[in-house]
Amino acid sequence: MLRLVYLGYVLLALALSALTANFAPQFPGEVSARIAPLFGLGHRAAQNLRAAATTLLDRRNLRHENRLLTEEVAWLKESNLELKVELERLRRALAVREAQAPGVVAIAPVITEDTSGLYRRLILGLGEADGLSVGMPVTSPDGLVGVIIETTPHRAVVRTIVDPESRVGVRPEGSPGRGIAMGEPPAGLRVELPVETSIAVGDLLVTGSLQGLFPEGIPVARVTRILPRAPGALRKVVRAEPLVKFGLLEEVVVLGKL
Amino acid sequence: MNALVLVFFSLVLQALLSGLLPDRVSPPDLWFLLAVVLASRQNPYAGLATAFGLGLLQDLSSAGYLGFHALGLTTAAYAFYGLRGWLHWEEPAARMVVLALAFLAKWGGFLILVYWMRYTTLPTSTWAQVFAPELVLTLLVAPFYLRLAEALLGPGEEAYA
Repeated sequence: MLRLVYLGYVLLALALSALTANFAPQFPGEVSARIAPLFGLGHRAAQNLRAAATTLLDRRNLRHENRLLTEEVAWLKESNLELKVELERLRRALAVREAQAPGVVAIAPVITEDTSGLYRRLILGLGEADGLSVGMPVTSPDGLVGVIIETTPHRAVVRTIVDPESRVGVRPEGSPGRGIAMGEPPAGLRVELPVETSIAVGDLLVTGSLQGLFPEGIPVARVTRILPRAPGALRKVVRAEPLVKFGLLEEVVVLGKL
Repeated sequence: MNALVLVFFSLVLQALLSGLLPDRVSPPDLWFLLAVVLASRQNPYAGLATAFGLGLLQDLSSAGYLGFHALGLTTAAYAFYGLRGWLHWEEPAARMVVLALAFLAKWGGFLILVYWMRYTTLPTSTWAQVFAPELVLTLLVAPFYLRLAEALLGPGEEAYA
């Protein structure tokens, strides 16, 4: 009897997955955005702990931060904290606009990430009411983050470039050869390039698809390994590490749709 | 009431661990441990329903295929009930074996759904980089988690052993 009940659940799961994928693909994303605050508490605590640990362990960071803090104290005497934060945001937006722009739509806080071991998605604290919509590229000063796949009035779900369903058109910086970077959980990319492409470990990959989702030239990842090519293979396959540390992201830059 | 506290605590802790570990390391699966703990304290029919519900909640929180984690956790709970007839859940070593096999069953559930949706299996890299570390970390965390669950819920699994 228990076996029959289990088989019933198996059929129910298969039916649910097929029905939602075909008839309501936005539904899981919408709910995810709405229940994000439930998981935000743990995520925010982890982010703060990681940031604290990183700062404590990296002496260079400490020296750098000490210098910044000294400067900040002097600066705070002349201005107030609110203006400083706003200035920093505008500077970052300007840096991204100069490097990656077709137009910055918003600087959005990352409020949580999904807890699955397979997916890699982020929930942003801004939504449709702030001008965000599905298909908008998401970047950071370090490089490409992903693309918005779902929005609610005040939340948005971002599929990062390391998500297994992510596909990003890329090319090596400064040399020809366009390929596709596919997400490889938990934090890598598998990149397929034309066999003629000249590439080496350490090379930088930037966005480079024609008429794609992302603006041309945004840094994406650095090549970490070139896989041996099978006889007769039509593609050169490399592994790459994203430039963005997703676990430490606090803010991202949302760009306008192309 | 205590069960709800355990659910809430598990979800917050899962988010905390996901954020604390480096991006390259898959976190331990507390959803799975929670499903097994709740299954161990319920009759099999209620346990399967609870695991399915937990899995649906995980699917919704991950914005993924609805039914993906639901099938994984339900398969894990089903395997748990089957294995408990062969191994003594009360003994620590046997408990780890039950958890490891139920974890394997969870991924079996994942495979069924991935094949159903994409007509393909999971790539080798997923087994090496997600399955293996997740299994190891889940088993490492399990003794502490089970102790915590016992403190909150009391020893109740014998009722359905």
